[in-house]
Amino acid sequence: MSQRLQDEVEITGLFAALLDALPDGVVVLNRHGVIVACNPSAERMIGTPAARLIGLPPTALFDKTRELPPGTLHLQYPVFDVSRGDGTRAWLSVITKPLRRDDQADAYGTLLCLTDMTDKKLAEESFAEALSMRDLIAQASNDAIWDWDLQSDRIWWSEGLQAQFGHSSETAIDREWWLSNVHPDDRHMVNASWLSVFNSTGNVWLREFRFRTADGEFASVICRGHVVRAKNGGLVRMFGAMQDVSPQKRVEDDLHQSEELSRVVLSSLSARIGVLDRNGIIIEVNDDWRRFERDDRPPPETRCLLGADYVAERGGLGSSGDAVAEQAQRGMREVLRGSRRRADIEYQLDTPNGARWFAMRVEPLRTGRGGAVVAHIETTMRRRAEEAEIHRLAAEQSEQAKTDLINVVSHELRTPLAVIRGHVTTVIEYDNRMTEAQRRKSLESADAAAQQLERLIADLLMMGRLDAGVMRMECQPHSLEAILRDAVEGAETISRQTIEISIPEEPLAVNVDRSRMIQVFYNLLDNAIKYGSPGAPIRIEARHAERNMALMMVENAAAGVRQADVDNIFERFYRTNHGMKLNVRGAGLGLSISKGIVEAHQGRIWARVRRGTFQVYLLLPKLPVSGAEAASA
Amino acid sequence: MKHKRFLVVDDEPSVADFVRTVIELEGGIVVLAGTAAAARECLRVEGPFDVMVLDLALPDLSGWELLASVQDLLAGCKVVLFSAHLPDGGTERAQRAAVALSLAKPVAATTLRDALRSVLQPPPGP
Repeated sequence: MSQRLQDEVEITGLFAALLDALPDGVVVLNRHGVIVACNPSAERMIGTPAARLIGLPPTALFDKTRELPPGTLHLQYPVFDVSRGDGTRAWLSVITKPLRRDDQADAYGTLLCLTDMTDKKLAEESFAEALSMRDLIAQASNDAIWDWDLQSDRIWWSEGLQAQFGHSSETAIDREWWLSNVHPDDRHMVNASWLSVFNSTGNVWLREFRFRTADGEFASVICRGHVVRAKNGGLVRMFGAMQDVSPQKRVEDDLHQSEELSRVVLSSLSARIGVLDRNGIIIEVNDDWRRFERDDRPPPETRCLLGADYVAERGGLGSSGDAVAEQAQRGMREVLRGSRRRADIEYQLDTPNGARWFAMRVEPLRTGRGGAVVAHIETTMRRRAEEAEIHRLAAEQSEQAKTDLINVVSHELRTPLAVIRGHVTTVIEYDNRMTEAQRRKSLESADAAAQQLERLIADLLMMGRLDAGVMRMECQPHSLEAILRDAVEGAETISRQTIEISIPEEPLAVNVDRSRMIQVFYNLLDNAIKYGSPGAPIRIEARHAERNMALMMVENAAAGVRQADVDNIFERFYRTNHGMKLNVRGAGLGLSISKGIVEAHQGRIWARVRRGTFQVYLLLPKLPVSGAEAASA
Repeated sequence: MKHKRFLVVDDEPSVADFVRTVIELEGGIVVLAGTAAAARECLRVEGPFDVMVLDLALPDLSGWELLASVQDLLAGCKVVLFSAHLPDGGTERAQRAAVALSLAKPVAATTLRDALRSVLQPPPGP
């Protein structure tokens, strides 16, 4: 073999090895256009073994293929859609090259170079699909959708940019334009956040910033972006949406402002204000509350601060007494449960600064989450002022009472005295001119006035003794019936009015000073006779009452008497308008003395007007059955 | 005092009775009234009177109120206050109400008689 032939054989061997190793497919046609050779890559791409291809025309390769539209995949070469022998599809680009020897003009064959474009084709299809989806989303959304090609720095904006911010999507073309419309104070932050996400492996970009609208105002926006990277990690694009959140932001600002206002108001209030959650846990307190818990909380109470269970701690009122603390606890529970609209508790605390008074108020928080607001307001000053006022009024009243006493006593003494002096001096002066009957009448008037004086003086003395607490009661078991009958007998001597007595069958005995108690009932009957409707019967009723008491009632018809007329009738020297109109004489001491006597027996007396009747009730401790029997005996 | 007409206004019958006895023994004519309302009625129906003897403490109105309400019926009638207690400022008030004289209870029959005579005296001539 010549050297040249040997070289050709070696080169041919080398080419054969090279063809076997090439990733691209190579098919060789002879001058007649028949396939004479193909490498393994071509076999794989076409999906048919070489042995079945050799001897066939190249149309056999693309028998079931069609050329893709020119320009697809941005390639200058034709691309064929191939149906492989195994039924799968492939897209192959084909470069055709004539085979010529250097010294010959005619080609002796053709080389077909095949490249598998299937993966790229699928990627392009998927991308086109994504673009179409992006457009659909952009149409459906009010937000400004954007798609930023990071390699070319071209930004596509949806119609939302115009609708939301007034910018034409044609001018908004790149990063520089975007940044120029970000608020100057936010610009650096936005740019840095882009760089940060581009330089990291992360794919999500999310920022809130101010964005200039076409009319120059700044809108608050939230911008979300998703970074798309190539397989090698290189930046491809970022797409996302910009949403105008100005209305929400304004609401948020308002809310924040309102919360801030509430906080300032709370801290400036001179009251301890705390907020409890629905379980009674303290979730907010003001400065005054903290100050109190720090400086004034009496030991050994627990400090009630954030997180404390205020209901379990009974509002920190343990040291002011169990009853008050339980009242506070119950009040808070009921308000939190919604069964009460408000709870008010007044309490006293012995703080390190002395005894202080507070008013606690619990009201529900009318929000969906429930809970309550607790306010403690110090009332010490008010209380002291009230006490001082009460003392002042009491002193004034006491002074007034003395003046009243002097005036009334003076008037009540002078009237009978005027009668006595007048009539007696008349008899002395006109003795000769008076008839016997005139003389007698004058002297009888003087005597009656003297008796009136005597009674008044006795009443005044008794009142003085009752006031001083030196009135001695000689108490012994007595039948109540006997006392009532004696009083009625006395009353019947001054009036012919009918008096009905109603006594229970079971004996009723009381431990009393008999003569004083008869005086009480006599006073009540006398009162009923003087002020009652003439001719209407007077009724006395006695009965057993609860808690070992005896209840008595003296009742008379009294048309025109109102409750206001009788509210003060046990006050000394008090005379009702009703009595004045009836021209009933009296110093207004009888009922006051009766009250003193009843109270000296640990009893109670009160009056009321009911359906045209005037009723005086009297409650006295009764004796057990054995005492009643003894009294009856 | 003979044949002079007196209206005695007092809610205490024994006191009124004393005043009436003295006046009648002096020859005067007495009409009694126990309340302000009765007094007003007497002034209207049984007037005119020469003297009205008036207690200040009446059950329906005070003597002052009665005086204010019957000024038109008191022409030529002298008013004598006859009360157990003349309150502070009573003297000035009595002057304003054209009261001729005030008497404080109790008084002797002669004091009352002299007082009534004095208010009936014609004023001294010039």
